[in-house]
Amino acid sequence: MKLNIISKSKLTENWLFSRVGYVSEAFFELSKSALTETEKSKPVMIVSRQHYIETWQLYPALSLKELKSLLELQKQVNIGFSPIQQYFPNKEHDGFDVKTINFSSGLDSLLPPETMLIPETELFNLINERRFVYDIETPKGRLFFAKTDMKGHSAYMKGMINSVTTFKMSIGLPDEIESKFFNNTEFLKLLKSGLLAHSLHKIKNIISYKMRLFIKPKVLHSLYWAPLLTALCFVITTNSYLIYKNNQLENNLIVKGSTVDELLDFKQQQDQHSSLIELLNSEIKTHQAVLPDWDILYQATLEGMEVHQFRKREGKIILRGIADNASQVLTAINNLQQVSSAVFDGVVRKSRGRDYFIIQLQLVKAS
Amino acid sequence: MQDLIKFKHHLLFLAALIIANYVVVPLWENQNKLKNKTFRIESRVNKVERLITQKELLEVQQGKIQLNLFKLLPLLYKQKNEAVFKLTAQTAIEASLKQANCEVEQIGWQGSTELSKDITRWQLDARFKGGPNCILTAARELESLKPIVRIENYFYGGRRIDSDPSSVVRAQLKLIMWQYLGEESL
Repeated sequence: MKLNIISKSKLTENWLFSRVGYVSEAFFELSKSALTETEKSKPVMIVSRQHYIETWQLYPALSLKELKSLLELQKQVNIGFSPIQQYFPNKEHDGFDVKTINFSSGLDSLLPPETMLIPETELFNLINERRFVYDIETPKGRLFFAKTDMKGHSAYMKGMINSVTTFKMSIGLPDEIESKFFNNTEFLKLLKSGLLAHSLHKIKNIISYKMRLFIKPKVLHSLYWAPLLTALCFVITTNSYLIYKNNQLENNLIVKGSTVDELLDFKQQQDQHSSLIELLNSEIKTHQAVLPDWDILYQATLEGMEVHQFRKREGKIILRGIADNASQVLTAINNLQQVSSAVFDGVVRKSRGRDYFIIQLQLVKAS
Repeated sequence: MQDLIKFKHHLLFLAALIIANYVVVPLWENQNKLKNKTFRIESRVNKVERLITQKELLEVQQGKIQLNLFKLLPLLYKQKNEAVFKLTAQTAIEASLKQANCEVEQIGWQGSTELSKDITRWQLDARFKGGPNCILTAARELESLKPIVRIENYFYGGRRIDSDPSSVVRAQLKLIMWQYLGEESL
């Protein structure tokens, strides 16, 4: 993946370059059209050639694993900004050529320790051309950069190297190779394109950063300790509150306990009395006085009935006797308000002009 | 000590796990139990408060109940002792029949039914004979007794049941009455 995805949007490109700066003797911003000085450093700084030294070392007869552990050890020994180490297989010596870029101690006081550093010449070195010479106008001064095969060479214009020609000669390049000149503005473009044109994997290899500064153990621990302590505080507070509340409620119950006991006894007694009253009312209603039944007998005798038997059993009243006209008696009884139904029980026997009969009747149920 | 420093991050993580497992989780579970307990106690408190607010209503109801009992209890025999009760009731019934000029032939207790722990219903059979005046007066006297006596079943028979003073009617009544076994004073 290349960073040029970001450059497709002006907004994201501005965001990216607002976080990248250039450091020589001062800090410069990359976000504008020309390199402009600024007071504050950026999280990612492209470092001027003056602040680092490149060294090459051959590690013969060494496996990659051994080389990596050796380089890791060397990194740990280093104080200040972490050096950038790149290795290239060397088949002739059955080992590796290791290029190390060590940053000057002056940078430690200039930049915060968490700054990510990119050596400027490494950005030029990523350009996918086999051989070229650049003559660049940097804030520090004229910088010559040449790439021959895989190796990059660089030097400021000073002392013996007072022109591109002498620079070429010093690194063994023929004079026929044309050099390309970049002024200040073009230099900025070169830096920007260097950042955007290459894959992140390649960029990562030329960045100096301290993993430890990015992964802070305290922050990591706080990621779970903070919720844990919050939860702990919450459950302790809730438990305390609930215990306090329960105590208060229980005390409240104890205080009202005697009143409640009295009321409950009172209510229980009241319920007993209510059921007693209900029972008695029901009994009295079921067992009504039977004196009004004599009205029936009276009505029957008025209609000329000679009553021989008058009885009540299981809620039914029976009249037995003789009359001149049994039907007349039955009709008169049926007409009584308290009688719900009156019928002959059995046959009406006729003898000597009179009727022998039994009337069975039921009373209206009291409401 | 060097080992402790070396593994300090692991120890911190372990400590967090221990606190979570042995402090936070049990406290969380305890909190749920406490919540349930609070809910139960709150319900009880609410019930209690509701009961207390109903005190006045209960007192009003008690007044009505007392009034009803005042009317109803005199209708019951309050003799708790069975022998005393039977003697009292039978005496009152016999006195009514005697007052009605009836000739008592037989009086016998038929048993009882326990309606509640405080109320028992008793049955008594009475056989007697007499003229129409005896029969009617006896019925009226018996049903106007206090404590009350009710005629559940009756049988009146004779040559002729009418207003003829010379006629004789035989009567067989099944009487019922109620014995109160509860508290004397309510």
